[in-house]
Amino acid sequence: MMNANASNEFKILFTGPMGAGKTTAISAISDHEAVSTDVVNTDLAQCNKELTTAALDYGQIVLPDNSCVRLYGTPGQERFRFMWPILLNNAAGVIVLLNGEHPEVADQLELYVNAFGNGKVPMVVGIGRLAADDTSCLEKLAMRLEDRGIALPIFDADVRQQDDVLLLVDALLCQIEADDCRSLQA
Amino acid sequence: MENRKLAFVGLEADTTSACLSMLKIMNGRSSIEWMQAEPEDADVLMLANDDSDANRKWQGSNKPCIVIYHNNEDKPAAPYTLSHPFRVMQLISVLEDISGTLSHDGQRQQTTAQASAEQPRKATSQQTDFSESLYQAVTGKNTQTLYQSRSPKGSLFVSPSAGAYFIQEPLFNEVRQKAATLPALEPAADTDLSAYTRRPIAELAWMTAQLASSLPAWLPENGSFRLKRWPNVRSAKSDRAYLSMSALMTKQPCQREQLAAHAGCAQQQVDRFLSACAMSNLLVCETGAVAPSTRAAAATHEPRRMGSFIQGLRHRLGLSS
Repeated sequence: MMNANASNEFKILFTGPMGAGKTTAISAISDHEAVSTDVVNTDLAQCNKELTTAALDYGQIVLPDNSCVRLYGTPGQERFRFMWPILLNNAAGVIVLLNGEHPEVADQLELYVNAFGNGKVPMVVGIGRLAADDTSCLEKLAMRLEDRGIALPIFDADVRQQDDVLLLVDALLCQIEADDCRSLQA
Repeated sequence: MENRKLAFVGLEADTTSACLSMLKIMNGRSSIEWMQAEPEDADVLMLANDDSDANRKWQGSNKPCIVIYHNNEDKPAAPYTLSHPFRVMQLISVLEDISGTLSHDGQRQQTTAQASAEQPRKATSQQTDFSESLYQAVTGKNTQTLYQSRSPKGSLFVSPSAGAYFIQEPLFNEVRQKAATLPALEPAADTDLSAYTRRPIAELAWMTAQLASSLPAWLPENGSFRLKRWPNVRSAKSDRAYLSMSALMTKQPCQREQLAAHAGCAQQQVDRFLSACAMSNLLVCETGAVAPSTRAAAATHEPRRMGSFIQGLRHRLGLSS
């Protein structure tokens, strides 16, 4: 399985609905502030914030061997969904960010899992704005995927905290590593 | 089939009757058949927790004694004890321990030194009882909705259907600090739990698993294990080894040694992780299955490249290697 678009480049996607924290998460680990294509948010009903990403966010991390990890944030609005498969192409993995307070968070999870590889691409899910110690929400989401035979790491994550973003990245790397081991089976 | 004799001294009639019923259940399912005898002829004695002359006499003998104490009493300082009421699995566990001692030693000695040496092992055995009962409760298909573990320091309730356990602060602190030994769970009647704090079962499973030094006897050593879904490793103190094991086990069944090699951790950490996952009803054990092999990345260009990417990114982000 080849998961990069050039021999010294790798791609990690951050996706999720508007306001889930994709731009913040990328900025937390990027070598530089995320490059965002912000516009004035005209969809205040969906998310009450002044600016939102209309095309994509971009950040990057240069590795010690000078290879580059490109971090892309997908636009949150579903009307830009046509961009998702383009961005997914050759991605090493996907980090899905969701708002735990949203009443349809389970449907949103299904939407993003289906759109981004249906459990076949390494993926980790971060749920923000959960009440403290509310692990039942995470459990319910994991069980919903389990019913479809999909097992993904689902963590509560406050992407304003760098450690939370690092946990998501580390879990994603562990999945990529496990896929590598399996691809080497005799 | 080996035969052993058991006598009851000073026990209340209902306790003796319950023990005899349990022995009937055990017989035929164990390599040892137990039968009731007079104390003089018995291999093992079950004694009431009192200071009567009869008890002192038999405790001073060279026969192994199991002291039965009520759960509102302090645990007696005896090598073998059972807290009443107890379950058949607890009785089996104690009798098996004693049988092993009788078989190995060929003689029945109960010195003070032996008594103190037995204490840690008994603590472990009792913990195994609790862990097994938790495993049975969360994986059972029965309709029991509430279980209770009564310890001298308080009660703990488990509701598998709610995915929660209920505990009061003092006992929680004891359990968290590994200072409490919990008796096995028993079915409980509906109880007002408003004075208890509700916490996730996964947390209890995790804390319980940390007390074991090896894989519990109720999990097969040579089994292949896979995960139905990821555990919340974050709440269980995130550790790369747990992430690595979870990632591999959600993709394929794995054996214990394979997990230790993949995650680069000690076997004990693997065993505790498997135990915690089992008690959280996340583990599927396939005893007959052969786990697919995993090999270190070296054979092809692509895996080396992904390995270098993973290592490089961890290094850059300050994640431990």
